[in-house]
Amino acid sequence: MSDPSQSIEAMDSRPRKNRSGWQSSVAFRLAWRNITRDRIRLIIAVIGVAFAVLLMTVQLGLLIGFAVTSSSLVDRAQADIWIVPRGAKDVDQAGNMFERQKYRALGVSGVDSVQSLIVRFTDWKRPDGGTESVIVVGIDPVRPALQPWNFVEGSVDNLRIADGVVIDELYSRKLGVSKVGETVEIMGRRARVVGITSQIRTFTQSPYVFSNLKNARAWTRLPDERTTYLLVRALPGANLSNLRNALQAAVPASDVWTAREFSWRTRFYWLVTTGMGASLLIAAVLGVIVGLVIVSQTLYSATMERLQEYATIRAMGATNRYLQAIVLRQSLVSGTLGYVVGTATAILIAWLSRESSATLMLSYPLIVILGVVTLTMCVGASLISIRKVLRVDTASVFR
Amino acid sequence: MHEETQPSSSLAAELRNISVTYGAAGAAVQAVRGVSLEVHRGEVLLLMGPSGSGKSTLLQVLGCIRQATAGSIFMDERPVHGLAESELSRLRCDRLGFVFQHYNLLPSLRAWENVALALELKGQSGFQVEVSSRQILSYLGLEDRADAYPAELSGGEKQRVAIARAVVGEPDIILADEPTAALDAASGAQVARLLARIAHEQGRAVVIVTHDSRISGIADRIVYLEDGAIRSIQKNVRVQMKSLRESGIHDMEDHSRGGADGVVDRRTAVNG
Repeated sequence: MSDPSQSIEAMDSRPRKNRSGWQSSVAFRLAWRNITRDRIRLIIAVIGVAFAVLLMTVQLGLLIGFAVTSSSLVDRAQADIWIVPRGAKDVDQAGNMFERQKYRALGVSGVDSVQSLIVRFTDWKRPDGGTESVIVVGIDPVRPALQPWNFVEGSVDNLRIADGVVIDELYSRKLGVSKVGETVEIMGRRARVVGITSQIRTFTQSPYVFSNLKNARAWTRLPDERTTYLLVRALPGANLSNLRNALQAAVPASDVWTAREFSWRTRFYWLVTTGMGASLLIAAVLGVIVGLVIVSQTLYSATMERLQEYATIRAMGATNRYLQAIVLRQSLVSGTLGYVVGTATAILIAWLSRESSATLMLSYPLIVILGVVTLTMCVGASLISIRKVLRVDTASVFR
Repeated sequence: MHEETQPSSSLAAELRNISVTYGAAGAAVQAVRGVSLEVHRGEVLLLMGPSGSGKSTLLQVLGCIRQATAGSIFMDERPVHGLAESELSRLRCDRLGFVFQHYNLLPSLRAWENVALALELKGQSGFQVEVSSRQILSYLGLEDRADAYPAELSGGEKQRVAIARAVVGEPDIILADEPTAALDAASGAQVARLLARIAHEQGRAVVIVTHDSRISGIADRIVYLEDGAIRSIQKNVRVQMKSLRESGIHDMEDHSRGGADGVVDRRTAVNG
């Protein structure tokens, strides 16, 4: 023992080297070591959170991917307003209507142009004889309000060629063709691949096959005087809501939606009406519950083991807030590590599935939101442990 | 029982007619019965007595950890009874230091971090917290052990770290519960001397609950409890022990059991 006569005050001025550094509070060090010292428990907690994050990310990524895919034709079209067959619920499955409504629409003030668009299911006969269901998208290649995007080979001008079709490389195996120039049969008529695109997915898994209006009518047996949609471009500065109402009055036999409305209507149909969105959301919620249970359980057992330590800290004068912070930090450490592992795995899965027909769409907002959800989940998971710590019998330190 | 009065400025805490009852009405057990006691700065006060005599309960009341069923407690002449839990926490943090039988060091923290925890609870932060923590350990002869985890320390070292933790916040009163019980004789004696030094050199009140009569030599007063009440108070023990040692008498047992000069029997005192 050092010289007892040496006062504490006298030693204050002695220079000292910061051996371990004071970069974080003792409470943080305590929380960090409490959670990291038991490696097995930490690994279980991190895997639990990572699994929960992965499940949430994949399910919500798929949900967003499906939503974006289902309305991609609407979203990509250079149209402000869609005139659609009465009762059309989504862009892939509409009836048809008289094309002459186009002229009534053109007579409405504020309308710049109106173009026909055909979207109809039909049969595609592969070179090997097999048959696939496809969705023929008939456009006007001269002044296209909608045209194929992400061309890998060819261009929209090629659709002026008689019998020409543009397919996406994602579905080349399904369609049995992979190169420009190959020929197939659509509804018993010859079709020739004149262009290939990339990443144009379809929600129904029946690939989009782009062609001109004439071919589309022939391949879907749609009479010449009929069309699926009329795409309206408004004059600059036009009020879309007023224009939509005016168009609805002009073509009362059809429905009129702004592009945004029809996009959401399509997404709503596929994700809500079919129950697909609910099933994806339920799986995501399941992820939250799994994470909540695992973090809660591991934290609770860690807390119970250290109850005497919490009683000591409380006896020393710790406030409830200080004790809460220690437990909460342990939970957030597990949550953050699990979130990083889970998100990294989800990003890897999204990258690996980039060439598949199912879209796992991850975005920065989604990743940030899931980070907040994960940390909120961890806060929730720590509540039982916090309650236990705050109710600890301080007098137990004297036993 | 009222002892001869010391200057009020030295009064660190006062218990007035404290009673503590455990359990519901039907099965109630009175652990402490009407105890009045003054604790002064600069003195070592030993609470002794058989198991179940109420020593630890009294220490808990004095430590603002347990509420008395009846009676009043004053710290620096200000009433403590009736304070909210948050205010009691503040009081424990600012005015009291605790030393436990089993050290109660946090195993995840290094020795200096255990000490720093007490300063952090007082609201201090920054590099100075580490400096102060290491300095107090150095003062207690643990400079080279400051970075060790509790599992790497001997029993005596652990208790000295615990004492450093109790002292670093400069509390008025240090409450120690059987601080030598888990230690061998040499370490126990060292810890006892250390506590006495803190009381006498730094002017803090040190209240020790103990069964260990070997440390009675450091006490200024020994309060004997029995069945929750004060049976007797032995005063000026340290002075008497010193004179006994000087006169060659080494048997402390008789004195620690009472009956020697300076021991006031409670019944005698109460009855005048």
